[in-house]
Amino acid sequence: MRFSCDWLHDFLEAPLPAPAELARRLTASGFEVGTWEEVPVAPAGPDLPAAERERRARLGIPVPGEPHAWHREAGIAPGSDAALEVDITANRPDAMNHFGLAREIAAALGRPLRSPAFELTEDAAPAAARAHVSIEAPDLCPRYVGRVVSGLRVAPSPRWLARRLEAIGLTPKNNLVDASNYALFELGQPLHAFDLKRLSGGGVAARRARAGETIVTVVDRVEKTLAEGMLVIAEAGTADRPGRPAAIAGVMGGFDTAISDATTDVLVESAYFDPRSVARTSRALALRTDASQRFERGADPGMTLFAADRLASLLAELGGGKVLAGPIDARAPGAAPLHEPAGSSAPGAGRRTFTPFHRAVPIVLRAERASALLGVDVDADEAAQRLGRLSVVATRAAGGPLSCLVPTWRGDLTLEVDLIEEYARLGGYDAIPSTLPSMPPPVPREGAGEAEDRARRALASFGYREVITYSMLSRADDVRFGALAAPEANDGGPPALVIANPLSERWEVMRRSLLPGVAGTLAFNLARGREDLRLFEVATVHGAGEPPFEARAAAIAAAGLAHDPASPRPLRAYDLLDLTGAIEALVLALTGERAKLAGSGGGTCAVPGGSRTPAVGSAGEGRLRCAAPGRGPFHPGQSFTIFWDERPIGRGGRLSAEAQQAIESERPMFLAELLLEPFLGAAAAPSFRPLSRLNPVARDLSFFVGREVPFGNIEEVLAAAVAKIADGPAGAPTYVLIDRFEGKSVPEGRVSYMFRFRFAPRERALTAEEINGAVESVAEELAASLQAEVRRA
Amino acid sequence: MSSAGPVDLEKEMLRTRAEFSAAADAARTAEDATALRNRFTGKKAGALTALFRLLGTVAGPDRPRAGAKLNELKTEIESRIDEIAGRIAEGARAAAEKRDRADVTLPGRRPVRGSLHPTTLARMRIEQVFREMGYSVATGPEVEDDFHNFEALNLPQDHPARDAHDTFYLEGGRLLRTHTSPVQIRSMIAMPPPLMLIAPGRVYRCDHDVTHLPMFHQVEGLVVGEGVRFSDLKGTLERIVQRLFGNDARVRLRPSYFPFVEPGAEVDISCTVCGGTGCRSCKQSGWLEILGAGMVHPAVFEAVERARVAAGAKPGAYDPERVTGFAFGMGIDRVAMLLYRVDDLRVFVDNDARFLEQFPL
Repeated sequence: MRFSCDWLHDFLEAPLPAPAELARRLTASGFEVGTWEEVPVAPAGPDLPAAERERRARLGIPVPGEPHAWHREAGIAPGSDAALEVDITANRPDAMNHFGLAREIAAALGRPLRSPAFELTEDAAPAAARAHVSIEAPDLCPRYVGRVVSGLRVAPSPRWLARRLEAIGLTPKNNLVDASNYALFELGQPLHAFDLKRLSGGGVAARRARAGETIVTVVDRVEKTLAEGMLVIAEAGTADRPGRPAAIAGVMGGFDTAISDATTDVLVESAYFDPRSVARTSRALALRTDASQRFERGADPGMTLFAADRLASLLAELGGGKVLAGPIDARAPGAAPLHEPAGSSAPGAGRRTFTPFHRAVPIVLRAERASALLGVDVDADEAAQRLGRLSVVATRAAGGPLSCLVPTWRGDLTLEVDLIEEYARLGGYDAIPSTLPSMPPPVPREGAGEAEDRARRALASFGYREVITYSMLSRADDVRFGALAAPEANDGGPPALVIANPLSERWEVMRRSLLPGVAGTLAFNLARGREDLRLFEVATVHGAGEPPFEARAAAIAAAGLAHDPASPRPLRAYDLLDLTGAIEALVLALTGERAKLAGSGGGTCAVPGGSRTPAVGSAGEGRLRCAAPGRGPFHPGQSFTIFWDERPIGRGGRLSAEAQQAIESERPMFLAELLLEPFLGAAAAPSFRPLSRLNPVARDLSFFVGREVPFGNIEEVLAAAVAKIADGPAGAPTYVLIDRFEGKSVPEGRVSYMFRFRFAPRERALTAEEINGAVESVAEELAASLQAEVRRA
Repeated sequence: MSSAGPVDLEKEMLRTRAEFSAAADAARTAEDATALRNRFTGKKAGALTALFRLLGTVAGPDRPRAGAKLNELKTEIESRIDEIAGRIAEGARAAAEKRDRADVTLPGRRPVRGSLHPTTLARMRIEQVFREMGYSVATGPEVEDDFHNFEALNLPQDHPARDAHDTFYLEGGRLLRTHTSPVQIRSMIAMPPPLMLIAPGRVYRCDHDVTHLPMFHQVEGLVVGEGVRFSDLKGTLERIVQRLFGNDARVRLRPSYFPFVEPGAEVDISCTVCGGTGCRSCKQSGWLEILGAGMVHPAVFEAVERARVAAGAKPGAYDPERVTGFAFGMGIDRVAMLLYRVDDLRVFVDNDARFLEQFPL
């Protein structure tokens, strides 16, 4: 909210500090000042009521239009005003007005506060004879004060008032409308003025709206349909014509009963409305107004009557009218504790000043509790004195805790801890020392986050770049990519969680797959001419359910040409094997299990389980397995499903031509994703296997196999063959693929493979016969199972 | 057969020396050196062997003197050959080394390095600092319910402070968490005090402009135990900020309002760009707003107590008269922007490779 320094001066007995210093002090006491700026004031004519000019002259407070040392200090043009933009937190509606902020400034600076003051002259005719007020919803409207002002004439506002409204960013309209606004921004009490002659039945009732009732609101002149139960201020109505809603209570007035150029008599409304009721109505109708913001945060129940008097007085002064005698003070039974005692405001004519009221029930404040919570010694007497600056009345029986009466405008102070905060706030947080917790820290636990970060570091160490993409997707992308979860399910997994209030159609559902994000990022970078792209993301995939499905997952993606630093030319295009290899290496990094990959990890990725038997590469023992095909928007011949312990945990493949088209990218993309849940436990420490003292013996085996035989089959056969000879004299060798080629010297339709077997003698050197025998039995197995043609040199 | 006298031996020695001298001067290659050695010092056919045979013809009395002279010659020739062979070998090595010289200025074969997103780097750094202080890292769901995200945090329905949260709601009534505070609630419901934890993660707000993304990252911290004080919060934040931004970084706490803490504070750090003297980044104030913090509100403990008791736990663990606590929260992306001097939030979600590669592993 914007504040005028000139306006604030009305409530202070000394000039404000220069705006920059004031901003600093306010910020330090919890009222953050965003910016402040000079507001020019035309330097001509009397711009303030005469009494206020005199007061300021006496106290040395700047008068708008006249030069003053304050302007020099502020560095602004002589005679000008300054406006502050102050961020008022939601708990402090009491400071959303000039008197309220002046109260805070006085407390923060330890200076005297001046109460708002005005003259109220009442006519002899009683207001109650002209208008009546009834409360039919006492729970939502515990208090409603009406005032009647008659004989008004609509005219432009005087310059001083218009200028102040302009200084805080409002556009003056006419004297009657401006008066309501002025009183609101002066005192914080939202007020309304009805054109009394247009109120059917000559009065109002605070009641709940009935189903289907409508109102045309004054600002936007749009007909709003009210929900049943919303609090309205309705016309009193007549026997034959029930009253229609004349205002949405605490939110906005109606057009039909609003002030117009023809208005002469008004009914002033000053009420206290239930904060939650106003909040609900304001949200439901999407109407946020100066009034609703204050009511939903909590108006000052002690201000209701005073503000009604203030507006009545201002209307009479500005519009040349008469204030009829007496407030029309409607109170709901039981509302008393919240409000000033009936009759405490002197009726009749005279000078009015604001008297603080206090809530009846005191809050107990223990100095030792404050000391323990803040970490600073709190003295009870000093605390009482400090809180006194906020109009808190703190009393104390000898040695006992403080008993604190809190003023009605501080609805936010209800607990002891609230007063402890006020004590600390007024002293400044700078005054509190810095310590560290003295309790011994509990034993830290390793969470899933640590394992996830191991995955991130591993993938980055492989050369992949981490990306962070939105968790929300368009419906089209969601449908196109489907769900990662339950990739084996034919029904496509759980449906997507739908966002009820999406910001854009790009973000309508929570993603069930990480692939759209990495694919989109590939496309984004390819379009910018990048060649070598390998990306990953670690994030959550979602799905509907009760409770909703959430799982951590990792996605990897590659596109373009691999820039291989070991052999700069020719560049190699990324393909599926980049993905399967990275997945193998990732799982190894996460599980900490020994690298016992079968073969070179070609078409399958197999990480054998933690068996302690001699290192035997075996797809059969592998807990991780990739097998074609995979479900998703993939090229039908280039996709795979990732299995862990025979449970599908992921999928991957080359993006289908159709999907490529949808994301507007022609370059082939390779994508995979897997659930991280099996790997989020603590990594197993590597366990040492004794080393043989004898040198291993290597023996190569070459053979041709039909092109249609997948490498995975060869591995399975090898694993079985090696298992068979494990108990033989040479033991089980390890093996690795060292060459694979086709063409030229290889018969048509066949592929040549060469494996290197390594035998590790345990107790004695192996004989050539033992080794040859072992290799020969593997060769026979290959020939028998795969019609392999073993090549003997 | 005429017998050779000492004169003959001496003559032969002179001749051999002259021949050796000429041959030695002519030796250029390793082969020349080998030939030289064979010709003069070879055991069977070498010139020196022939001379030693002649020694037998020398008369007895002269023989020792002649023998000594011959040995002298032998030593001279052998050492000369060694020297020549050594010189030639040295030359050949030098020539080979000259031939094999590498161009060390060619591009080296760099291992391929990937990169971590700066938000991850900042989070890891933050987590590291807290782990050093004994904190655990906790996680929780991103799709939350009203109780954990709002109710239990003293933000009941229709609370005006909910406006600041710009919540995404899901069909069916759940919502996307607007902060990671619900992880604190879940942790307290699951475990009795003492607690020292941080909760990093993705959070969502229905807000998108130059300075706001609808999805961003937060880390919140919670310490609960007996005798936890506001001064402990202050000291903790100072230490964190200094570990993150350097020992010169200063911290300023200002009173502020978050419904789940009381007293509450906004926390500023001295501007990381100008050091506090005032610049564009800090709008001339010298301070950057980075954290919200405060003492856990008793209403939060009470909500946790009710949920614990409802779940069968023994009452009293979170009695606000017995335990106190502090909580704080900050934007990880914001910390990343400060640490790495990024001035545009949007680059964090564009994932332009030119941006990513600036943060190598």
